Amino acid sequence: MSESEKQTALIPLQHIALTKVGAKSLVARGHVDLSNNEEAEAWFNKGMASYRQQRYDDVLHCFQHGIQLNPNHPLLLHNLGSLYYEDHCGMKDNVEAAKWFRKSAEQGCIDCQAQLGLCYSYGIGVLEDHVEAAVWWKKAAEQGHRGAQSVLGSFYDKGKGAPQDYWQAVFWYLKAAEQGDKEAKADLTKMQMRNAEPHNNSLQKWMSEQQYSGFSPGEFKQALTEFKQLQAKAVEEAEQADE
Amino acid sequence: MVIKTGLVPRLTPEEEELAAKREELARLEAQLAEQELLLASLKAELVAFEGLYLRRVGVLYAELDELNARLAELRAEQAGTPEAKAEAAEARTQADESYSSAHCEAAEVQPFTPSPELKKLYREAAKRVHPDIATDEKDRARRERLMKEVNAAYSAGDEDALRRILAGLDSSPDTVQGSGIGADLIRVLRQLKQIRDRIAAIELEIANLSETDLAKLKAKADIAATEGHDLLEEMEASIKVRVILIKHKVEEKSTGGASI
Repeated sequence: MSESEKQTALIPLQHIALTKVGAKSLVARGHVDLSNNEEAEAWFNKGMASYRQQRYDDVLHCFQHGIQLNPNHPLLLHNLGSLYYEDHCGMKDNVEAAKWFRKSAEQGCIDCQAQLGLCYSYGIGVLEDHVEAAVWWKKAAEQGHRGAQSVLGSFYDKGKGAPQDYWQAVFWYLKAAEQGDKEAKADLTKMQMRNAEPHNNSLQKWMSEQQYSGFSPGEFKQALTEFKQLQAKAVEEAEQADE
Repeated sequence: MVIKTGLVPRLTPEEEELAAKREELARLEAQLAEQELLLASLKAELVAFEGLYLRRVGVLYAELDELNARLAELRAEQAGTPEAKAEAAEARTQADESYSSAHCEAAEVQPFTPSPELKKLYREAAKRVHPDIATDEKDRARRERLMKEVNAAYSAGDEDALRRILAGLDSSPDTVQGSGIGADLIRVLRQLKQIRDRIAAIELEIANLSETDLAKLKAKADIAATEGHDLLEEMEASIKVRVILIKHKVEEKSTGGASI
């Protein structure tokens, strides 16, 4: 071996890993998942085209194929739930609808969380269960769903599915009212009439319990201020009505 | 191409044949060096992409498998049946395998971005050390070893190593010509055949490499990049959803039902 050959022999051989079994199987897995997701997307598009043509059997067929290939396809989950929930040529099946809404809700779909709250509230496709309903209403409410905020307010207001909690009720009614929810405004007014002096001793008490309630004091103060404004406005409107 | 000047004696037909074949040889040698460069680049790019994939997507599969194993173990704890235990053990093996694969040496390979100088050095080295221009078996073995080093230096992006290999070649005896036109012609014809065979073999190897999952994935990622999106990011997102779902299941298993 010449001097230069000795030197070149010292080049660190870069690890050619193409043949490594473990890495190879991780790559294969990614490739299969990716291909399945692409195929699922194609089935979804095909299904949507059929939906526009009102060929609902085809829609279902396409969606079912798609969901087998990608069980987490967000729109497929959402639309499967909706397809079974809507009444298309005798395909309505609330149990199936609730099953798909649940999967979609678990993946964070706001509409499906609210929809599932509704299912549990009225026993649509599932056994009526207010505690479970409250869980899903709250998830949707936290993500900003106006209707869910209003319903959650009423749950806390009435102690339905959750321990009665006046401040939480006000908080969620306010959140919904902020977004223009008329029912929440009406409920707020009703609450205010029921409690002419609404727990005025309890802000301090509430502050000490805020960990339980799960709101930051700042957040709640803001809500309270808004509530007081609404309250004042409601009183004003009532006075005007009296006049 | 060499431009001849001055008086040129008429060539015999054998000499003409030899000259023509030598020209062809020079052309094919250049083509071969180009093909070797293509193959070496493809391999290095694939290795680099594999590293990137393992660092970004592979680790998420490992996380998913870890959560799967934990869930199976929780189930086995609660059920206590032999089936549940076997399932948990299997899930654990898979999780460990995925972890070590996602964190293996291959995951540390950095992006491959050859400079024009590196490519130039590689072409030059490939042309001069290529085993298929060997004149005998001993020469061929020496060249094969050198070619491996050239390839390794290239994929490691080591320009200096390529320069050292080239410097070492100057004193090599392989430029010695055989005696007589007949012998020269035979040698050139043999070299031509060897080079053609090697070019065909490279084409086959490139075709085979392109059929691997890794190459297909990389091709998709490259297309996605030209369309302005990041395929690996999309793959990450889709596995992250699964990770979140299974995390919830693990939490439910360990805490019981939910309420607000």
